[in-house]
Amino acid sequence: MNESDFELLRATAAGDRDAFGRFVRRNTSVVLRFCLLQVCDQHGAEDATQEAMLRLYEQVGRNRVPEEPLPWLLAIARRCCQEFQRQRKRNAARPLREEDSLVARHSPCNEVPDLRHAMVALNDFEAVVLQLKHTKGLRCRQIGEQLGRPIGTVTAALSRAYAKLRAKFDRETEG
Amino acid sequence: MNSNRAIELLELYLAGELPEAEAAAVEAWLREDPAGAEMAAAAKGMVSQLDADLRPPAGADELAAKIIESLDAHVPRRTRRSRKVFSWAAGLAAAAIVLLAATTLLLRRPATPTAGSSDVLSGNVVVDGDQTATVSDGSAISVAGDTPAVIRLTDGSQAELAPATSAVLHGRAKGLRQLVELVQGGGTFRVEKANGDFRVVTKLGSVTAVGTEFSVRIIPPQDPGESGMKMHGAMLAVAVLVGTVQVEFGGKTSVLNGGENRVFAEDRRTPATAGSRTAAGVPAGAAALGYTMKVIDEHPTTADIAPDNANHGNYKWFNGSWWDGRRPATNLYSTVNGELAISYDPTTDRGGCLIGTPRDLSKGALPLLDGSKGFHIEFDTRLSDNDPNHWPAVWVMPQEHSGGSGNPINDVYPGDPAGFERWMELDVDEGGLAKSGGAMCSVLSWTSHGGGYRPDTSNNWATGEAIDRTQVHTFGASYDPIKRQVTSWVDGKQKWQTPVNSSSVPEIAARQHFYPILSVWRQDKGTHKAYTMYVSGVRAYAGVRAYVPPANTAGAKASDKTDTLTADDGWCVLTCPKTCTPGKEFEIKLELKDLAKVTRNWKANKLPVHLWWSSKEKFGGYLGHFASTEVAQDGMLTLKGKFQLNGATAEAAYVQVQAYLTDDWGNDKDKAADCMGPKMEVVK
Repeated sequence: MNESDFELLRATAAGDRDAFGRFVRRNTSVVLRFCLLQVCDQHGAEDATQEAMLRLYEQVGRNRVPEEPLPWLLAIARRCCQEFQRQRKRNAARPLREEDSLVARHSPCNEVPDLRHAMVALNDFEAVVLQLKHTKGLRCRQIGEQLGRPIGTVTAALSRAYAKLRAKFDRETEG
Repeated sequence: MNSNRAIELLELYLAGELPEAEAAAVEAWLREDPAGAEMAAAAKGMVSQLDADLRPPAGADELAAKIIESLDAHVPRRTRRSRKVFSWAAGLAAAAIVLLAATTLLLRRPATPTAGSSDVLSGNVVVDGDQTATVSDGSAISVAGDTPAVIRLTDGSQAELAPATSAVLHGRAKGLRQLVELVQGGGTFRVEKANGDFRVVTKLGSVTAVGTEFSVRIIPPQDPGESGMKMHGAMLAVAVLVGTVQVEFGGKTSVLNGGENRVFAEDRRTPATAGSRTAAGVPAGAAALGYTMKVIDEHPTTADIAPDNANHGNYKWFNGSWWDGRRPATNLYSTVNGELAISYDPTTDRGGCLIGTPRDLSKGALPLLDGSKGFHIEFDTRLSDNDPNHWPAVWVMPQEHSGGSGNPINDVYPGDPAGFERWMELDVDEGGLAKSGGAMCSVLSWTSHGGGYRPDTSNNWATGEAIDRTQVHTFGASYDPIKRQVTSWVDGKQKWQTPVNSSSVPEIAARQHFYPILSVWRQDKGTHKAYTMYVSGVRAYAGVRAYVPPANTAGAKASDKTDTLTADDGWCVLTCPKTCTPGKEFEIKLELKDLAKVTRNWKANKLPVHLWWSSKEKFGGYLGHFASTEVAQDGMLTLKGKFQLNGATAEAAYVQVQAYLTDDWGNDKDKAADCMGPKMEVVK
């Protein structure tokens, strides 16, 4: 991996559209998985992912390059997911409680309810590192290259993420 | 290496991410500590689970390709940001009250508008508790911090909002090029010269710019204090700098010209509160329908909650509903100064759910509300705090609906297909869900079979005003079976009402019997925080005469054999019993009525379309998702695919195909009913 995300976006801001294409190809799976955890809807997650990427593209086009692109992108994606959920609430099925919707039982969220809740305990950087590790299968060294951060920082973040998840799962098991 | 440190490193070790020396130390610990193997197995299990749960999602590569393709049509704007800061209107500063000021300034150089979202150029703008750089049309915003926020609106105008300002940026709406709803606080607007009106609305009145400069302030009401100060109601101050504005206030229209300013005073009205009752003590919502018979008057405490396995008939309230997989913990309930406290615990991610009928839907001590007579129900509640992620709810459900939970299914009616359930859910208030942060009432007509329930929903999600939930409020709702109408009341004032014969208020509700529910839960935005809902009263009033609904006409029509097209709250629904058959290739044509309304500049001639299906028997799922669909020159949009009905449909001859177009999730204007023409047909 030669270029960090930041370098790709900086190149995009300078007019290199292909650089953003590389950024998209590199990160779409991470954002899509993140959105799936948020909205429990494959197509909603796809649209939120697309919307988030395009909003980032628009920002970068105005020379607003975030220093930590992937955490920033996930923050945008979270916003897009919230907008999707609001729209869905207005226009489609919206049970008062999730349990009351049998449709919801078959949604992607129900495949990983524990993880959805446990991920809330992670900060954005830890969530990004965890996803790059398990969604992309990257090594800490590679994650560090992509994020432009030292491997020690990445390893420490991954360790913290595991510890938080372990604590969360242990507590739920005991409860 | 001690055990704690080794356990901390187990996952990294298993992932091969530890340096050699630390890996060796962990291996040594594993050999020496008898608990090591078990801990390693648990860690391995968690890592495997993460690999599975966070696996690469299907379709990511295809999606990436679509996104890259769409970049061609999406040229980022490179407009330079204006750093100019606009000063407050001098005349208003002299007024000494600067809570809110909105000024529009006519600019000569239009900027490129961006349909659907506004950009935050500086300052801290918060939407749903999160700081944001873009604001979608229809979003409720607030300005955090000590500095103003500068926002470029969708029509290119700029708004500089003062700290602590709350507003809703509606964008293009109601025939206006720009609609800004000011809730509190103040700011300054620069309005681009363009066609159409720019309007600022407040709860007191509205100001429409007609090519001018003006300022608007809301002066909040002043209450009488102990000092006996003279009180006044809320006021609207308008000052015109240049040109002309039209002010709507108190049902009257005024025109102000340049150099003029005026304060519009509201008549001081008697505040409507929970005490707004008739002489007989009947609340206004009940009195309006003649529901004078009080059937529930409770001040619940923990002593009223049935212990598990208790004799149900002796208790009024029950812990947990039939759809709860397990009962909430009893420590989520307590009695505090005579109020019942129902709490949410983030450590277990569980909240209390208090129900007016037993989990097995047998008879409890509280009477059920007979739908045939109509009813008005109200709840006196407050919260421990106003965090927007809370989700307290007070609502009613019919005893007939059991969802096949092991209890008899009693919401299947003659004339309907076997197992086809119908019921009404009435959510009197769901805190935190409304866009305004205020009370939200919803009524839902649910239909279909278990596994595919579908609601027809009406609510006041988009309207209303924020309320302080740490104060006691009375949330009420009435159901009128004759008019098939639901009305929402808050603190004795009517807030919202469905139309007469609303599709969300099913006729079948007149045959059902309702019980109250008070649930405490959380939303999925932000951190989940502990909170408590305090309940001081639950009352219900019923009508006297029973309404006998006509014979079943509202059920699913198994005999329908004609393709029909309807609009269903934003969806275009094509019911095609003859033509939509499993395995058949389809080609569906949609005619777009007003393409300009639904097309973003960067998606010119390409629209995302969702197409999904359901039968009477089962919700089917997405039939197709067309992320970037080409629109033909004649405005027709063609979708092609294959009816994949999953092989699980028992009644595939009755298929509903629903399409939904959108240009922006947050845009209220993008309802299919607004943008689709009359044509939606299966042509192949």
